[in-house]
Amino acid sequence: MSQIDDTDDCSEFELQLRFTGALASFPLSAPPDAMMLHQRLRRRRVRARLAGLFGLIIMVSLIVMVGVAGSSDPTSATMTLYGRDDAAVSQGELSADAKVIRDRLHAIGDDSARVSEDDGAIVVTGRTVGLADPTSVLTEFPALLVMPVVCQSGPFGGVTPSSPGTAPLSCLYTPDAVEPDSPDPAHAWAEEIAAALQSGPLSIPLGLAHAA
Amino acid sequence: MEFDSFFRDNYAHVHRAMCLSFADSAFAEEITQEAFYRALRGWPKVSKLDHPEAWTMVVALNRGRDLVRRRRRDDEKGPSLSRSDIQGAMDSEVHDRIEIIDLLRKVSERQRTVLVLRYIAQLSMSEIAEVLDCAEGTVKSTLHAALARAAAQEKKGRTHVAD
Repeated sequence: MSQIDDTDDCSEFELQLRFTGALASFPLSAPPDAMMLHQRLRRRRVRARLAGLFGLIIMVSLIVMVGVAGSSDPTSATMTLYGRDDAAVSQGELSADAKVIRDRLHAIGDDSARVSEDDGAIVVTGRTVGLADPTSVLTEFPALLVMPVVCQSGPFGGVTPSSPGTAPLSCLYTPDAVEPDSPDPAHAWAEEIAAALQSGPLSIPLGLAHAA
Repeated sequence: MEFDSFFRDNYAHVHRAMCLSFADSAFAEEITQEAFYRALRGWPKVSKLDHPEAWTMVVALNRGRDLVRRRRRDDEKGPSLSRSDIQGAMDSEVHDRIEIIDLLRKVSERQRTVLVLRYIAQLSMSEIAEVLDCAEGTVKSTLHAALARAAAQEKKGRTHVAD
């Protein structure tokens, strides 16, 4: 640094000469093939595209999952419970049963379920959550779905099934037995059903309980 | 301007500048290639600059500075800044090289950038100000401070040797 020790004395020209000399002391290196940089850029772009595509797939999957989980399409499931063949079911009975079904579905979290009476039948529309195969469940435990409707709901009482899989032979309609605050014995069954409810059109004769 | 011709025409010059700045040929090659790669990535914009070569040098300097810091932090071996591996025959060019490397080592990173742009890229003060996006007065004062700092340290060194 002996000759660059004083900026006043060191002219621009002199300094420039020193830089030039210093640069020239390094051998000229041949540039590598520019194709290498192009290939690197190409790989980067491919990676970026793949990452973008992957991100898009993840995003779409999430949207679909959220959409499916959050969908409240009332037409996604329809379940029709027909009245007994051997005895006329009054509109009052149907209404009472419909209310019980509605309350139970709401109680188990199926807020989108709609229960209505239609031409002697109870129609449940909405997403009946969790029932993987309603047919099999109904085949195995017909009483589970039917009994709460015809026997264990508020105004219908008097007969307790011997076991969850066995339907009673008859149900008694005893309006005086209504105890609004009493626990519903069929509620636990409804929860069992709810754990397995699924969407899909289904028709269940109410008389199934009596047929058993 | 086509990137390939820009790369072909300027690679050696930028590489030399980095050799001078970091005193390590392999390290200089690494950061030079990285700088040109970044130039390629942003070529539509870089090609429109008045001094794409100066831009590439600044990118390489910044990259080198970052790598040196990182390797120091990670206790990896940084670029060799000793003069032993670059000393060859003591011709005037090698003598200049040693002095300039010493100068560039003694100044701050910002000052080194200004020196490189001034004496290697050979830009005017206003052009340096444009490249670094600062005022021309700032460039002048930075350059003056760089030379003054180098001179002060040189004097201090000589005093130490005399003692």
